[in-house]
Amino acid sequence: MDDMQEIQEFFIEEATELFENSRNILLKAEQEEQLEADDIDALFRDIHTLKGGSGSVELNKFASYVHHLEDFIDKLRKKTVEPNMKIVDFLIGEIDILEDMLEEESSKTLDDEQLKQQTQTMLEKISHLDGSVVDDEVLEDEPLQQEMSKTEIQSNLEKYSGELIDMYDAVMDSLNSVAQSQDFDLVFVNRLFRHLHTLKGSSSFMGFVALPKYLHDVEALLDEARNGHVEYNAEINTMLMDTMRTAQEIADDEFNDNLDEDEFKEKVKEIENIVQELSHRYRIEDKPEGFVVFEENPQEVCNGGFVLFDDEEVKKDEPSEPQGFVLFDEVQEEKPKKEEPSGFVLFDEEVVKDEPTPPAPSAPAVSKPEIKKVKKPNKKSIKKSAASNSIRVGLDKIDFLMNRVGDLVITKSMLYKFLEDLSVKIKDPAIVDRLDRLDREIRELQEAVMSVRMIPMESVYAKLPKTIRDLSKKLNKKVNFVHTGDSVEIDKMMVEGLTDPLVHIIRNSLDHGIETPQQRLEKSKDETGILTISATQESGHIIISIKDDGAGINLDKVVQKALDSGVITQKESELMSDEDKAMLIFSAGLSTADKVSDVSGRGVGMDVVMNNINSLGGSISIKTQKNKGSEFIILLPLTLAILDGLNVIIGKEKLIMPLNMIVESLQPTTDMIKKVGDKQKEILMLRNEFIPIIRLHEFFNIKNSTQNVTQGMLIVTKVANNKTALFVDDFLNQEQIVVKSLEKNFKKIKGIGAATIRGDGSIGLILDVMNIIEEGKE
Amino acid sequence: MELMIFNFLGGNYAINLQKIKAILVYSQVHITPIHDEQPWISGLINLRGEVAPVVDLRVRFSDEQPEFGTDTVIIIVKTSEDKLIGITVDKIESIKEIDDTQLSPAPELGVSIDPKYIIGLFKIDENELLTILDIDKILEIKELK
Repeated sequence: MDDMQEIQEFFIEEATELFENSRNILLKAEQEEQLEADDIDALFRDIHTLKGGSGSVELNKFASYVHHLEDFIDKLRKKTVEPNMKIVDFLIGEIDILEDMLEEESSKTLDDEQLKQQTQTMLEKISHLDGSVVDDEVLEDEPLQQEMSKTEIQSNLEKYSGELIDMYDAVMDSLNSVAQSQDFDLVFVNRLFRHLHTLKGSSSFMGFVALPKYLHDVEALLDEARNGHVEYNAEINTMLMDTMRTAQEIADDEFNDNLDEDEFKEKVKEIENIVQELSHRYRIEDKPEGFVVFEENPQEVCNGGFVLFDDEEVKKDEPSEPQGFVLFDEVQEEKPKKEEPSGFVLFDEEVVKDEPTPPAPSAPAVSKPEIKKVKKPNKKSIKKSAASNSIRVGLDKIDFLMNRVGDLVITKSMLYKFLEDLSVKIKDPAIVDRLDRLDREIRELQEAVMSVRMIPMESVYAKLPKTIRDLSKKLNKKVNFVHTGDSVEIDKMMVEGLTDPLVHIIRNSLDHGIETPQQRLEKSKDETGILTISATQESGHIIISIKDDGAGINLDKVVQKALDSGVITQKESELMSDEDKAMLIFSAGLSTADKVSDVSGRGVGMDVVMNNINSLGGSISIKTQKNKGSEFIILLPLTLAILDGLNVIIGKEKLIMPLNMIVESLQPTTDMIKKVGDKQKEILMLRNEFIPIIRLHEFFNIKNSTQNVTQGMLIVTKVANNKTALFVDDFLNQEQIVVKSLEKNFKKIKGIGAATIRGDGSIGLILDVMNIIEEGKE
Repeated sequence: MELMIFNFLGGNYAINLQKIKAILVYSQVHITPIHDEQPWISGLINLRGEVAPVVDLRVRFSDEQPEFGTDTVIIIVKTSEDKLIGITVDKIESIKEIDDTQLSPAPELGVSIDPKYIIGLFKIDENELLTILDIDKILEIKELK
């Protein structure tokens, strides 16, 4: 059961990608107001994979629901239903339902009644959309004619033949393994049925006609077997192996346009008879319990004889054995070719070009090995190479690697220190030289390990189109979403913290920024607004910009609100630049929306955005222009794991202050320090600004430190719109540090955000400026 | 149960050997102090690239000033909360296998350590009683606040 759960988790991960995929297709279609045939095919494939996958991991309710949806999409594909925007809208909704349903079933909270209801609702919706009823098995009486053109099949095959071969292999592997173990239990039959069903369905989708038709009866037999009407035994297994070989030939011929129709019809007839006979003979009701499997001569049914052990040559662990579509001996001479690197580059294009005009039936022996050449690399290039070129690794393993590299860095600095302490006589330039080389190599190693944690921005963008669509629908606005920099890489740990702020900003832009189509037309703008998100990487930072071409931020209104709610004073407001004013929207409890909508406008959110970005070690700024639009610019460090810090001294302690919070530092003169209130609060007056001072030695209760502000240093920090001056004894150098979590083995510490390991192996504490300012207020 | 027996403030105490991940010599470890925390939290150490706190058991369970000698060690414990935390004691004594059924509960009175931090008492001989500490309880994160 645990195994199954694990497999289910894998499937759910895969499904998430499929949902995303389908959504993107549909959203694109909605935008272009057209659902193209290619897209329908892709959609069908995704949904079909969802169905097959969920069935094989025992998520049967989900599978049954998807099945109905698949039927419907199949109709779109077969053009019995004309796609329209209502259908696209319906399908977008269905993807949401699927996602919920999958979650429910995997957490075992989906009951039958609910499933029934949801299925009913969907079928009703479908009947409104197409008006017809579900019909299965279209293949049955269709003439043997291909729906797709040769070139289409060709291009499909280029894309999917690898998968087809994999499916074929899956069937063959099942047959072979069970031929040896003789363990024909129901689990096996079910699995076999699913494999065969997928093979049949997919081949039909790829444009094969003869192959699925040939497999149809076999599938029916297996269906009976899995439902317990027919006993699955060694004889059937052997027959299936033969059938699969014939199927392979048929597929070859069909692909090659070499299919002799009369011969094919005979083969179909033959298999029909065999299946009929077997299903009759081993029908369970008729047979007594102890029926002897090998009673009758298998020769009668399978002309290949009893081939159980011949098949060893097709076993999985002998990859050199031809197992693909063509089993000719000549092929084996080509084995060395497999040494070539796999992947699409290897694809022998000339051979492909030759394919559509094969030398006709006269020279089958020549053309067939050629296909082999085409297909073998194909097979490698699609699934297998994808599977072998990447692996899923837990973040904890990468963190472990990071820690080890961190240790290495420390060991290295110890060596350097040791070298410094050596007497001049022993010092050999060669040692320094070698140490420098070690240093370089460790640095490279560190970068390499770090890069493992990086993922493309694409994965951050992936969820946005849906959010934007839903929001703009709700707000009755027209928005065109553009994103750039999909391949810019970002620390995986940062993605989670980034998604929320992004969504908040987008909401804000859609709600307050972009106007309604009517308002836009009045301003002689295009009625569709443009929301652009871009990501770039610049000098150790990632810059993410969210830009809209809407109304811009109404600064007067923001200032008025800020004055009303006491965030700023009249005097302060007069000194503020436009950018400072715009930044006021990040203050807690401030909303400029005239009416509160359920999208945004309650004044919660934007301050959360600021906090989130700051806790990622980043900062945010705004550019806004009336009626031209606003741009939010988020500046993030490349990774959460490394931080630029300034070493500060308090008493005997050396602490690290994150550089991204610091505006400036100064040694104040007496006249710059004002004392206010009864608590003798100190305030720094700097260029007409009043900045509260927090004495860090008091905050941390550190003794023996400088007491007189004018003898120490004030470091001015800025969080959101608030400046605070932190008093320290002195500051030293600036350095790049590797951030270590405190909470892994301990807990949050007041005023300390994280720790690092210094060159001498000791722990350095990193100040949590936001926390200090918050706690310092009290 | 196999026990690691150690000594602090003149008494013998023990914890389950299974809990111990490493033993560090105090004089070789650099502890970075953290301020404004419980006085018995000595600070943070670098444990093979991880940051781990150190709790001085001697300060934790007594008001006396602890002494630091060549025998002083930090025992690294993996707690039930999956945290690596160091405890400072005066001296490592020995390892001993005991029969769990021979444990007697800690009396409400007469022991300097709150009974909630004690798994049980084990009688070594007529004169000596070994206190087996519930180190998971002592080092619970909510206890460290």
